[in-house]
Amino acid sequence: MAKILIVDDDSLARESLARIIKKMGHEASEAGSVGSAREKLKEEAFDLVFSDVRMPDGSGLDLLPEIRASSSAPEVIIVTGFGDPDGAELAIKKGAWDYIEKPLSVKPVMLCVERALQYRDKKRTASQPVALKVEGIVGASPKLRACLDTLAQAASSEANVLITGETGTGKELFAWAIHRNSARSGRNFVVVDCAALPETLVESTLFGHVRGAFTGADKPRDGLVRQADGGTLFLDEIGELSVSIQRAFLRVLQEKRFRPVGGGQEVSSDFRLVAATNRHLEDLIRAGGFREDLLFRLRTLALELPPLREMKEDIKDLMLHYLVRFCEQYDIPMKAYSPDFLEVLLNYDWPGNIRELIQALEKAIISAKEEPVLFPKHLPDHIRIHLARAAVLQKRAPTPSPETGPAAAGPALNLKDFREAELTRIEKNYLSSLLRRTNGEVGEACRISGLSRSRLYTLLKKYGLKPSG
Amino acid sequence: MNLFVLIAENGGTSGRFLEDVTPLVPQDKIEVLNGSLALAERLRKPRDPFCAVLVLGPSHEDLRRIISLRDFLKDARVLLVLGDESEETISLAHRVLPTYISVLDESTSGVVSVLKQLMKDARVHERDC
Repeated sequence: MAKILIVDDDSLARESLARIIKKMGHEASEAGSVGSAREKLKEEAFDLVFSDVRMPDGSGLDLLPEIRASSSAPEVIIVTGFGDPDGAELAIKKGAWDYIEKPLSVKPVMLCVERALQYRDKKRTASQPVALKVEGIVGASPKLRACLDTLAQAASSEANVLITGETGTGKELFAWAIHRNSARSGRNFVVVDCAALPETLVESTLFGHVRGAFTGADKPRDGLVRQADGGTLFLDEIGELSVSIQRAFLRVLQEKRFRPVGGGQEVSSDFRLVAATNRHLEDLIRAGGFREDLLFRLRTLALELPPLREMKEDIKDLMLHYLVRFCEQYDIPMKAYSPDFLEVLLNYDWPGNIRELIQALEKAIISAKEEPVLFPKHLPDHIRIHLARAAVLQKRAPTPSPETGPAAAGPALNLKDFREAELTRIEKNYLSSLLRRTNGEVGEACRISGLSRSRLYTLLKKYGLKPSG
Repeated sequence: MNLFVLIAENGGTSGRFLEDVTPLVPQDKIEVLNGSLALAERLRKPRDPFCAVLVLGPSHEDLRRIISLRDFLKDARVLLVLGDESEETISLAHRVLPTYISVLDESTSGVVSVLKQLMKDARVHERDC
């Protein structure tokens, strides 16, 4: 008998779902809000959670990572009455087992429950506790733990992996960890830095060349694809590869055979592919800069690394880790930090993500010289200025709106602050009317605005706006 | 962007690489280091956020030492110019997670063009900041 939690503010929907579940011989528990679901998840272990999307105190989609991160890590089925394909996509991306629409009918619900529980059973018997080697990956936030789950899944398979994430989120670190934990760890992990290789070098670097293939090719040379034989080939910044190289690489990926530059004979290489990019490959495909068939091949497994601003609970651990590391590196006594130092780190948005945090900490340690305690003044100026400006703006123009916008404050603000506040107001107005015009259809809103899906969601979140669903 | 050029013990014939990369980087940004111990010492001092390390003719021991420095080399782009292409050398070289690998008896053009690309990226980054 499995324990199933139903999270829905609609008591009738909850009750009818509970009836179906009990009829199947399982135990049903109910929560009428996100808050109450959180409490129940803390108190009890569940095998499966049905969660509605829209509830008065929050969204089931936002609750999803917390459910997955709770100690029993139940499977999640998202239920909604709004028929929103983007919500479905988001649910799956966030790790939901499945997605069903209201009104619920008995058979699909029973099938869904049965399959989810079967999957959970199999997962439980198959998974043996394995200690992942994850040097350098620091933190314990639910989002990071979800990434580590995918890492473990990737390491135990031979599937191609596509790692995405903003710059500085640690894509190479995860790629390396996948290799280190895989059956190929005894062989080469070969990095191809697609952004650093000029177009003229890419082909011979990847595929090697025979003697005399071009001026200066005095000797034959193996390319990186050959050197990855038996190991892992990591294509970093794959979005930077030219379309012609993408075409050549697609063939290599399909056949694991290729021809070195100037060569007549094919060479084989049994490599496992991990690729990474900070670009939105779907947007690139639309612009003709990336091959759709290559993307399909690449993302057998997808690992999306969240930006640091979405994992702020990891900042303290990261700070402590790197303080120790830099103090060792510079051979200086361990430094303490003031509470406001940590507060600044927590309040800043870190557009450059973990890499920017690491650089800021290194700069702070260098600036502090002999001082034993780190204060905000030791951090890079641009961080302190950014926060100071945000604080001033908040005080002076707390809620810019069309009616009372910063224009009303007029000369009370300096030009920069005024411009920033006006831009904020205009952006919010634009997004509100965009949602009205598209009836909250995210796909249509992306098409009209030219924004990527993730950028649109980020902006909607920033302004507290909601698409349909 | 700092460029550290590490001339290892086996790097005897590497003069032409040094000659060809020197004009690419401002004089105050290029530092020539003799041996991997000197590199380890240098990495304990402050440097620009963007930094490249060009290693000329490293021995296996040098490569092992550079691997052990990998934590300090995060965000540094490493360009390796190897003395040979034996399986062991290539295997050790990849453990450094280099941006580019060349060999001493090859033309310098690959290293030069990768370095130019890195300099360009660093300039864009510095401008954006």
